[in-house]
Amino acid sequence: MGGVFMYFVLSEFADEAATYQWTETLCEIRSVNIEANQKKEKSPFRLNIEYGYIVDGKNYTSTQYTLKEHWSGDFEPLALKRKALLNAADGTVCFVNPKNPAEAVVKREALSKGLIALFPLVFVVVGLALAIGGFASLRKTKAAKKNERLGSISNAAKDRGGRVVLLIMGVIFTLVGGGLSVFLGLVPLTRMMESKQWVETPCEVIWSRVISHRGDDSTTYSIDIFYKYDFDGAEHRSNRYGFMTGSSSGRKGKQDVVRQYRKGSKKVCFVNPKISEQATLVRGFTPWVLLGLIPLVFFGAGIAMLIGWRRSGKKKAVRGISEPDSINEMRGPKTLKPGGGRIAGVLVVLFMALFWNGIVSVFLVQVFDGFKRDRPEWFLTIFMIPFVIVGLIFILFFLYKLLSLANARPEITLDQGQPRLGEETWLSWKIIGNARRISRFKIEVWGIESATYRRGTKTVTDKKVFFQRTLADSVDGGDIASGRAQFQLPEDLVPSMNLGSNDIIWQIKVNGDIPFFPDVQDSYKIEVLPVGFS
Amino acid sequence: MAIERKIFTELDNRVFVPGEEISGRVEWSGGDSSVDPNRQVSAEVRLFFYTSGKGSRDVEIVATHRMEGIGESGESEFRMKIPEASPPSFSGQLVSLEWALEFQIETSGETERCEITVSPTGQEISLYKYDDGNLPKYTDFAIGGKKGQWK
Repeated sequence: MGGVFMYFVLSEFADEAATYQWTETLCEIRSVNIEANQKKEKSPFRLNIEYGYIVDGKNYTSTQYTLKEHWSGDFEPLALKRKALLNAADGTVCFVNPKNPAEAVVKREALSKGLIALFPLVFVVVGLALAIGGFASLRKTKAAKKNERLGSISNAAKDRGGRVVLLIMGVIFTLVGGGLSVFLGLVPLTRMMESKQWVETPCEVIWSRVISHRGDDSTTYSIDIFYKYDFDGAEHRSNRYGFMTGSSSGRKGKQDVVRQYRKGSKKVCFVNPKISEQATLVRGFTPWVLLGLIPLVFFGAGIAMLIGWRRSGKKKAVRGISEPDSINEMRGPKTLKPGGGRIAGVLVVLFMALFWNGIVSVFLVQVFDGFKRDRPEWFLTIFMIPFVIVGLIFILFFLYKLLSLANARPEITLDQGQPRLGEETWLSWKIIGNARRISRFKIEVWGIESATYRRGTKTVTDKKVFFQRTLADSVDGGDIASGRAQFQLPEDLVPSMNLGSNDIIWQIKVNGDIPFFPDVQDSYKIEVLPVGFS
Repeated sequence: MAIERKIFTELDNRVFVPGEEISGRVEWSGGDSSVDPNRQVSAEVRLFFYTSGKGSRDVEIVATHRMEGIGESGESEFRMKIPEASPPSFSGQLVSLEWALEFQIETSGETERCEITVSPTGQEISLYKYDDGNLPKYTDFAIGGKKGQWK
């Protein structure tokens, strides 16, 4: 589907691109005005232009602004174009078709049309990636079967095809996610903030209505108010209501707004003092604009893919085994940072709570609307109860995690940053904060085996503790505040390993029991080196 | 006639410590009737480790000995060093790691494999050697965890 859509977009792009071969010619603008046709609901505005030019001594007149006739839903860009055309001191350049001098355009749009092709490109790339992934998976399965028949295991080590797909997906997600965040989120947000300085100006409503946008599943609505105002001694027009564009469900709210702006009524708008063609009826910050930042999730996913791609390319002499970062670090002390820090934990829960409750709130608004109109939607109300309960649990869990931020923080230091199996080493701890609230303090070292595998379409990771040793266990306030413990990991065990799908992980686990409050629970990943490695 | 290949190590046992050199000899004989007799055939001995168990298989080749233009039959000696920073052979409940040598001739793809043990202790390591029956279940404290679960 994406491919078919892109074909049409690209063929249009090719037509537009041809205008870049047309001859640049000086032309004289005779008239420029903006036609407003109220009968055309979604795109009521068009730039009408008339200009003359001379080719081979012969006079020509054209009314073509762009190659394809273009009606617009926004008045402001057309007003800015009109202003630019009228203010061009050195005349305007138009582009004349050398094969047919009667054909000319003032604006060539090829590049901007080409950018639109990027959007369906996402679907094309995702489709291709799925096809390549499926094909690669099939090929891999066949190769694995062949290898199994032939008895080879090592052939599998030569397959590294997944990296290319990761790179392509990473680039696309980063560009599209970043681009959409800028255009849908950051740009409107910036203009909202700027509009606080705009000048309050009287205006008169030319028309005002609610426009319906019929989709396959539902109909959405948008506010369309066209108004005129005088600024800097000239009359201007605009159809900007606010800085959030697009449409949404809920006709009644929009109808209420439109009623306040009846045709011919005198109202107030806010005009940009630097660009008098820019005006709005509503200014300032609207929280809904933050929805435009949702594509940041895709941007983040793209960056994560690119990091994954880069990391997978860094091949060690032997993949998997821990190597000392440097002799100094290996032999020197190292203060550990907790894995999956507390703030990160709180942010994860906050994100889950916002995401869940954000979706639920959309339906809750509908439920409340029903009650407000004395027409409660009982089925929806009952249906939403379990979802609301889960949302409340998320909020409570977030508050619980938030409380844990106030806990004392253990600072763990290893005498040897990367301990070696079979070697005696020391661990010291210091509680930063109120250690007296902790009734029992315990430090353990865990060895964990981790296996990641595919179950249907899901990727699952199982972890199991294969080794546990208690390093400190205290109920005495003084011992809890700080202390040292010696430990030695058995030499007949295995060091830290990262093999790809299978890992050996070593962790220091710290638990401080606080009565009637979230416990101190931190884990610190450590790199354990093999026996005798130097 | 199918190629008949054999792989031998010079050591009596098949146990090595990381950093040790492994040397051996491969022998092959017989030809592959489906292959153009004028084609240059190559073969490779690979030293590698791989995982087995619940997770997807990870395989890593640590050294290779490549032979170009081999005849229908012949033999070749090889010498490869097991890197000092090598994971040892071990077995757990989710993951096991094994070492092996494979000899493969490019045309037929048929393979001869020889399992070896790489371990500083001289034997495969058992992950659960120190399991006294009281090992905790894995939890990630950073995200959740039950209050007082270590009591």
